[in-house]
Amino acid sequence: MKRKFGTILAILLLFVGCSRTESDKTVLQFWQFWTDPQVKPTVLELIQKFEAENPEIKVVVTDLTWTNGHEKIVVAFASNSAPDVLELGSDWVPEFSSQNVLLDLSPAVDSIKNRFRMWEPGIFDGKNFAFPWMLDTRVLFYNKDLMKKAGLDPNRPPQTWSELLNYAKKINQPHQQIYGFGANAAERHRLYKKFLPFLWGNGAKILSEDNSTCLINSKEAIEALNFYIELTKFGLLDTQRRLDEAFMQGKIGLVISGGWLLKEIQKNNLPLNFGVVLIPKPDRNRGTPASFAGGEFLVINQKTKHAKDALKLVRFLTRLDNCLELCKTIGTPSPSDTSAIYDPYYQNDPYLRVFQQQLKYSFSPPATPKWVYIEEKIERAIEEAMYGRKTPAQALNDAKVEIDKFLKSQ
Amino acid sequence: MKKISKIALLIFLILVLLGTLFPLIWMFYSSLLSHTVSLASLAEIFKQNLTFRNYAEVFSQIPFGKFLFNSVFVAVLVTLGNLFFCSLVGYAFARKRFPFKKSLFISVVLVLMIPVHILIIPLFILIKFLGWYDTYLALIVPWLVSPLGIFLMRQYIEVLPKDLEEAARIDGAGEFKILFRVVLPLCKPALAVVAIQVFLANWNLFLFPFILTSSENMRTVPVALALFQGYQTIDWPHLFAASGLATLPVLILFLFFQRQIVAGLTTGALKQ
Amino acid sequence: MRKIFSPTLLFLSPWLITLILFWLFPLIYSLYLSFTDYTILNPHPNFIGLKNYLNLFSDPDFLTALKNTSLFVVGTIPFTTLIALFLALIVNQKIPLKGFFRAGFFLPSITSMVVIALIFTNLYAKDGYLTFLCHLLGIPTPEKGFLFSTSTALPSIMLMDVWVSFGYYLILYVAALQAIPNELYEAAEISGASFWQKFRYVTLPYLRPMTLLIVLINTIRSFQIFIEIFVMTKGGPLNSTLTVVYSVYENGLVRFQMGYASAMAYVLFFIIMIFSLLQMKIFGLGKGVEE
Repeated sequence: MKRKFGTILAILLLFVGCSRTESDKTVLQFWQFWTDPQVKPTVLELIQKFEAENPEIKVVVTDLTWTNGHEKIVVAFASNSAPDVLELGSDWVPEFSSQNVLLDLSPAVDSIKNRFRMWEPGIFDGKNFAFPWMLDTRVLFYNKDLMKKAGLDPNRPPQTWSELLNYAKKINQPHQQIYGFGANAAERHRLYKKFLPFLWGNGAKILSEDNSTCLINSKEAIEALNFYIELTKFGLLDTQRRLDEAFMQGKIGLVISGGWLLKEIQKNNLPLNFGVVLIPKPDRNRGTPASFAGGEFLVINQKTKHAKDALKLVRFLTRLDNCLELCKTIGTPSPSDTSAIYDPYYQNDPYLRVFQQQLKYSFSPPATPKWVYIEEKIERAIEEAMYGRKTPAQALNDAKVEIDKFLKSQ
Repeated sequence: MKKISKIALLIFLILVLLGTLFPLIWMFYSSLLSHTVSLASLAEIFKQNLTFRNYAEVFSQIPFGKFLFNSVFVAVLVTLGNLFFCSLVGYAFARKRFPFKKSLFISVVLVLMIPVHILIIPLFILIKFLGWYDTYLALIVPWLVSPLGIFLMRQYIEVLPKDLEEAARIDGAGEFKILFRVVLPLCKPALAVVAIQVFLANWNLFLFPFILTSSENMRTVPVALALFQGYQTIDWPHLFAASGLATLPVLILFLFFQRQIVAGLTTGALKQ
Repeated sequence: MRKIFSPTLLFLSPWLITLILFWLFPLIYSLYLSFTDYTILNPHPNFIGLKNYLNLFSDPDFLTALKNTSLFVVGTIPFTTLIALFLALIVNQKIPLKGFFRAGFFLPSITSMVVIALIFTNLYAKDGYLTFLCHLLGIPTPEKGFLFSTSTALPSIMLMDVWVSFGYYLILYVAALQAIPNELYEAAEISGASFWQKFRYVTLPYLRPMTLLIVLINTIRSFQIFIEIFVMTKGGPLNSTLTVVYSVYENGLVRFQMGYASAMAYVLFFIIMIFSLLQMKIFGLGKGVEE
């Protein structure tokens, strides 16, 4: 009897001993979006590397889908069960930053801010709430064969608005199912990303410096919208996905798209003779080749019980070597580290070099928490102009009035 | 039926069937392609090589087998539960008298009418509170008694003649016995419809499983399908292969229950 | 009395437990939220009375959503029901391969709605099959494509919905048709009834309860369509496919205005309830077949 008791006690102590070692470990909940079977293993590898460098921390990874991840995140925050570390797309960073649910990273990042770029979306009230992780932008893709067919020099892609329009007109042969410019149709949450480059490129702004007044009906902005509507007449109007697919099928001459398209073309070894170039600027001596900057950010839950460890994970993932590894697996994004541009991976690839260059001229929308409303109004204005319900000037004027009204009521 | 009209009818049906199945045939064909570009143009369709590789890859690239198992496991339990519970509740509504009967029955139907998006946050809080987050319990228990199932059983039982039940009651049989030995055997078509309806609804359920679970272990098929949709690109061949596989279990269930629905009533219960 | 009460309570308990445990809290909580300015991430909602509800009726987007949703309901249910009935009658005749046809028609309704929406996005594309078919038949197609033209976007989705759902209701009708005793048909034959008379006096009365059920379920479901809109058009172009539940989703989970979204959801709920009660009254809930 005594021996049995002793054995049981020993086993129990062993359990307690084991579990105590387990419970000594801090467990971090990390939610991320990279579920692609080609990419996820890299994420898991990085996590393992992190755990090896930090043996007292264990990271549990949860997958989010691009289509519905937003709901899951919102529900989690609403019910106080958000993860410690979370990946957020640049679109969503401002809204979460302003709601007092993210940890203020300023004390931790003030000293290293200059080593990274694109902090803007995560800045609210002068504080930093999000750490930029991977950056991406959009460039102009052009089909060299279609250009040749239209009598254009395939090695001289368009660099100004008039060239762009001209090329689109020449390439556009709709009855042969060949299209000049691929324009985004009324696709929510995408349309504005295709228009804003032209707006910014022409020197227009959406909001004033202090985010209190809307400037979207400026002369430059109206010019930009006029130009965009004109462009849509000489090409294909469809969703981003179909535009990408049509480009891959060799049916579109010019389309603005992002790194994912480059990856798809290369992944499938498509016999496509194409190139990428900076988005055309209004004129040779005017404006900038502006584009839309997007990216992934890492944020920390304000209510986390392991702030220090969460920060360690964030710093680890954004470290140049780790981030680079992930970026390479995904294809085209760039680490937020400013020295990434010098890495041979980007310098030696003619396409990626263009992306890096474009990043210099890429902007993100004003980091105001109510961006969702403003984005909607802008898209509505573009739609109304596209469908001929209002002239571009009318549409933008009306949008300005509504946005101003909204900004005042906050 | 005259031979000619039979043949005409058959041809008509085949044409309608082809029209109905065309999108699915397109989907199946696309799942056999190795190109990730979706082919909308007819000309390209016949040039491609066909392969079943995507189906194998669906299982090798992600633990799709596990997801299938989860979906089947959950859907089967929910269906069995519903067959049992909805019979109980439907019978009570059809045959018994009790206070607040009308309002309670209306409550059954009303629950169906609430847009679910406003319920997910409180439901999530509730599930977390019960400690059921990311477990089979969250996927099964709230769905064990379906309002539609209750409605169907109640409608069906109500129009059955009461003679057999009366006879059994006079013979001294208890309520449970009456329900399960006398009434339910007559309800086979209704039970079959409830089974199919509940299984189907549960099989395709996306929002709640997505919000109430997080780990891969608890993932169900609809959530897995959502993962084939990338940020800007869609992996069409794999998505279509996976979705084709996802319809198989329901199809099998349906083919099995089809006979039940069609068997009709062989007892003399409805004979006037 | 008590003897009848106990087993009854037991029989009802599954529903009572489910209702109280899982649905009562979410329902009451969301109803409460509809009277507040709850914005999800802000943990201290303020009570604002009926403000949300009043704002709804001066919100042009909500009114558009209401209009679109009503169009959708009225435009799909009659077709789905009639096609299901028509084909169920045909499939029920003495023809070979009945099971094969039934399974075939049923197949769309068991496929994931998301996948079907994606398939149709391709079929409706400017270079998709439907455009091709229309050109073949000489029918003009909208310049911007079916899903991007304000006049054809919603009808395209309605067509898809009819296509997906009729098979399911066909099965329900088949079940109902099986319940009709053969003797009635035989008796009608003997008294010299024509095809139409048989249909009207034997078949139709038996189908009334099932028709009510079908129309009821379909109505409740159609008023709440969401996934098709979410996958295919996100409410566009120019709000021509904006439906109430999609608006609830957008307001609640994208713009975080959960209080407002809850109010919208309850208004929709109220509308569905009225509609359904009307239907139940017209079709006669629970009336027997003998009449």
